[in-house]
Amino acid sequence: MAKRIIFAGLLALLHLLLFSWLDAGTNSLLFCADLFFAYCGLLYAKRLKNFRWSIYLAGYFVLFFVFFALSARPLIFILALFLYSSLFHLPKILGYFFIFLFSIIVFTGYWISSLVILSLFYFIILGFIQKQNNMFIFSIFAAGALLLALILLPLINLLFQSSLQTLISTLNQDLRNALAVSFGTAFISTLIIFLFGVPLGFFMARIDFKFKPLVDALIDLPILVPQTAAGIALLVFLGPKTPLGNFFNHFFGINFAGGYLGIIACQIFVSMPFLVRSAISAFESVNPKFENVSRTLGTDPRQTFFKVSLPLALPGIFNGCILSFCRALSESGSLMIVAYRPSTIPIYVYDVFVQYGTKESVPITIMFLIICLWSFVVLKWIYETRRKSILRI
Amino acid sequence: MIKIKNLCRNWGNFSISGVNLEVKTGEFFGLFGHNGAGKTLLLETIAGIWYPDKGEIFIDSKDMTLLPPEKRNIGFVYQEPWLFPHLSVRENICFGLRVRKRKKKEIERRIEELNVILKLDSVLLRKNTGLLSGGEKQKVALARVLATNPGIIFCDEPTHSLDRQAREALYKILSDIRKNFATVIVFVSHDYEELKDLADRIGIMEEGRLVRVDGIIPRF
Repeated sequence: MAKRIIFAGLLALLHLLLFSWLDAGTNSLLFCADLFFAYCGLLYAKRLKNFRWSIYLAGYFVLFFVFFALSARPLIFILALFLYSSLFHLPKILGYFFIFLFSIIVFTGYWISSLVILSLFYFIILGFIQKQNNMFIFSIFAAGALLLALILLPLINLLFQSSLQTLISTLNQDLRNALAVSFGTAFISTLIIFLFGVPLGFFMARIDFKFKPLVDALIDLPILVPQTAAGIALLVFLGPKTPLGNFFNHFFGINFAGGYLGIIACQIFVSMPFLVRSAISAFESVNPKFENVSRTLGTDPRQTFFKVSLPLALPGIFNGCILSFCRALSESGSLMIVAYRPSTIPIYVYDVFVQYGTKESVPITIMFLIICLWSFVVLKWIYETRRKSILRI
Repeated sequence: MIKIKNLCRNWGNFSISGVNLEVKTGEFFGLFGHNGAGKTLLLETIAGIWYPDKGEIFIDSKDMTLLPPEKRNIGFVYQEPWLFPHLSVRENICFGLRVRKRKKKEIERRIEELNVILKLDSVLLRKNTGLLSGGEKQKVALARVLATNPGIIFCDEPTHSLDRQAREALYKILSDIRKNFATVIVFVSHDYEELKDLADRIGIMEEGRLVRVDGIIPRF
């Protein structure tokens, strides 16, 4: 005990001599931090071997160099030192701490987004590094991570561009209307694609016919066609003063252009491939032997489809529904041409951007992003739980 | 009774051709052939999963050549059990009965009957299909087929991936089925010795043709 008191006294003296140029408050805080560091060091010294002990010391000098010597911020150094000393025995959490420091120092302007992304990658690496401890896996992950970062950085950066208050104040009537229109139409178009796309998917997966590759390519066509071109094609096909448009207008009083039906038509056009593709691969992954067994047990083709093929393919199809729904939600290019009003969220965002500029449109875009991401995450979560219960894993 | 006249079926580069065969009610018929001899294709064609290009199929003297599989009353046990993964063991076994819209009591009774031969305990019935051993899976597949009371059972190498103990158990079950139900069993294998112990007659297939049928083997 006496030794420790002497040590503390020496440390205090050292601080008085070396850091007398700091103000008294900061200096005493620094003394406390150093004392805490030394105390934790004593605790670790009993448990850790020499090598780890030197890492502990090295960490101190890194922090000191970066925050104290390089950027002259003693208070941040003190804070960092407290965290570092107490977290050293938890290496995983210490990793997050260093990612935090690294983001603040290196990516000063974008520190939140880089913190989120680096932490995410660190989390993933921690998950596989114990099972797969080879450099190749690590390097392919690094390559993929770069691409992911390219997608995530602008989006996450955008999320932190306005305060919560601004965000709440943007939730006005217009935005709420746009939200309702977006979700309503996207839901209906996904439902329609489901009703017609699942049979198409089953057909494509099970039946071989002439020109099958051609039909297969046709399904992907909406992805290849530019959105605006799709909009013009739809407008020329069923807009006002076209034969089909006239027919619907005359007999049913329906106008595709500038109405909900126009929005739904556009959304179906652009998001169809996602669901149909998923349905095809989902049905292809169901072994036809299941269907054969079912047939010999007494089901006709229709019952076989509803009792065996569809339930087994449903998880994959539901995944396609999610993609299709989100694609429909984010459609804008063709809507600008076919149905600008009633405005969906992407159109509303564009509208505000054109009228008021970036500053006004940023909070709305953030709102839109949050809502879209949130619905995507929720749907994915439902998908995962459903998949597990269906396949009884 | 199955009667097949001059059955032909193409399958890409492969074909079965000119198969003539007659299997009597209550008979245990073995079908022997190496891999790729066309055993499975022949069985699937008889079961109605594929239509034949030529030839006729009679079951119990009725022309079944162009009937869909669900009307032929043929049970099919594959090499793999192909239990429906989205259904429990019990639901798998009841599948054929549910399709036929049988009443609950009747289904229960049928399961009780199967229980005598197959020893399906209540723990097994409640399990998920993913948790069963290979032997149990094949047993459930057989129970699923038997539940619908088929006149003919096709077993396409059901013992292929089983260990010896599970094999013996399956043989026992098959001979019990023979005793208790008046069914035709066609058992496919690429192991002649296995068939010799089980079957009344053995048909030998080579490259899509039924080359010969070995006569009745005395059973001890």
